[in-house]
Amino acid sequence: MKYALEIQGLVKKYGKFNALNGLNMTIPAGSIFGLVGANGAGKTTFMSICSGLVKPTTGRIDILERGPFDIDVHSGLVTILPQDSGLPHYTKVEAILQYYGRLAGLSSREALRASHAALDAVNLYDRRKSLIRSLSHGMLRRLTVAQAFLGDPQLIFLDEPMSGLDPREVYNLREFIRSHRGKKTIVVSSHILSELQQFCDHVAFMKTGRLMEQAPLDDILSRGLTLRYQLSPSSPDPNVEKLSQNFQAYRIEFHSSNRQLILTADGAGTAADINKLFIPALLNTGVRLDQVLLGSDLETEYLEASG
Amino acid sequence: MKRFFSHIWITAIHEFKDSIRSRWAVSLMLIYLAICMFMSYQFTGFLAKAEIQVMKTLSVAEGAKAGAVTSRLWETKTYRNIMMEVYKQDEELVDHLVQVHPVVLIYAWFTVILGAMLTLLMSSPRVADELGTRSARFVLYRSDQLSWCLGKYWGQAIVLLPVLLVSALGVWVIAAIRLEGFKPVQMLSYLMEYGFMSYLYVLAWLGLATCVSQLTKSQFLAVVFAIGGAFVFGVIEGFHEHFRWFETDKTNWRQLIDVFYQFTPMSYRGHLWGPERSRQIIAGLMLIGLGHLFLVLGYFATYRRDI
Repeated sequence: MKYALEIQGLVKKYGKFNALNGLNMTIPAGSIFGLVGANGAGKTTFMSICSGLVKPTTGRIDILERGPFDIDVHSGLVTILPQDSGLPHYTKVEAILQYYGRLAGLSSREALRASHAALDAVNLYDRRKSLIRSLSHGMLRRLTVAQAFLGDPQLIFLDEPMSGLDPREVYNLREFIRSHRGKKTIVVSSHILSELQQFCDHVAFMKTGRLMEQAPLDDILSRGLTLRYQLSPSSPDPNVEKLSQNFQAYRIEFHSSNRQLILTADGAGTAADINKLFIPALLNTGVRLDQVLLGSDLETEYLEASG
Repeated sequence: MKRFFSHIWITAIHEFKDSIRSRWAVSLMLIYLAICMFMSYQFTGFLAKAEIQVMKTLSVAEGAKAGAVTSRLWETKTYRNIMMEVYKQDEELVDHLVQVHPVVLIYAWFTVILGAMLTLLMSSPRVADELGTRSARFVLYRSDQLSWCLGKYWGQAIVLLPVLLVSALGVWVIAAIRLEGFKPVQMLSYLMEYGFMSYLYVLAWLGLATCVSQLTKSQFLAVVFAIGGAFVFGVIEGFHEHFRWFETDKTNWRQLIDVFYQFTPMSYRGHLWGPERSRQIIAGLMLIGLGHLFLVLGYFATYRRDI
């Protein structure tokens, strides 16, 4: 199987509003696929349609080479971590996963074993006998992640899986997702692009219900030559106008949010050649430089692509 | 098809366990049990007062408990005449009912009314709650909505059976304490029989509750819709009785009301209490069928909806 998911001309209308506007996308099997887009870009709608929770208006969908979502065909093979969905409060952690496992086609014993494995993976095994209402927000998030990995799903949609997790659990989840590379197809949407960059191998940018761009992450990050100059937090802002005048061959931008000065060179020249001239000029403007990073990042590329 | 029935079973068992952990459901069940016991306590108190009055009139020594006179009176022609008035000259039914202790009949009356109310209040929020909190999203990509709703229906049905039978047992305990000439085995068998008949009766109401629960994502609205449905049934029954006793001409209106009446649980209540086992069985099956009809109507009204 080459593609886990193929979509052509997918449209979803809510009254007059088009949540998806002729979306085309192919997701390679075994990839960890990052979905990037602003709020309202259609990421959640796309995932919900692919998991059968939302009905498309028009368009062609082929999931795991078995046609559009069909509960008889895809139950247990396709799973989703939906955004903003609660779990029943009065059920026990282990019981809810067992229930979902049984619905996914596992026997009672297999469902128990799978629920333990999934809870172990998200560090909730010791809370397996607790009532769901006794869990913290972060624990609930981990439990919803666990249900998406129950059994042996082949295509997993994770809608904002990192939201509400503490740094340790973000790290654990990232490593957990990474451990499935090549074995399962995982589609992850997130607004934390630095996170996506750490474990995705393919990325798609979405805007107003359409695909803007889709490519392997390495291809996106290695376009042209990009150097990122990380300024210290207490540094004054650089004079971008003056630097651009002095280095007209390069495109120079300053991102105040992460205090990075981005230099993009589309022509010839190595990073060392550029740094030899550019760093002294930059320091002369009075800024304090912490480090220089080679290569673009997902955030820069997304902002570039989305205008 | 096997998967369909297996999902109904899995969901029913999960729903049963979930319901008995729900504070709302447990509170309603306890209130129901308390009301049944309180009502039978009050009724036996009323019997005792009535008997004391009779004994005073006859200048007989008063007994400590009720029942000594009642056990005779309830076999008299006067009591039969009263029952004939109540049951609209249905001799066959009355001949059967006069063999049953009045405490059992009072219990049966309370149970069909309160049991239906308990069912509507307890079960109507079950699906709506999961749609509102979106916890249904974790289920409905593993299972289809119809088998899920049927599972919810039968899960609630499993909860209701012991509730009704325990309430019958509660009434039996009160009768044992407060009635003279109490026949424990006979009364228990009648209470259990009428408890079970009431159970069959509430299964139709349970269908109504599950139907309206699918129509909304608000627990509160689901309860309002359920009570609204009960009110509509009440109005239909009122018109039916009106035409039956006061306007005996076969008008179009009457025929229309007669048809509608066949779709209310009340139209089968009399058959449940009658002497013929075959009619009881048919009435029971009709009530279960009616419950499923309501449920499926709710499903067809909503199955195209996005979850």
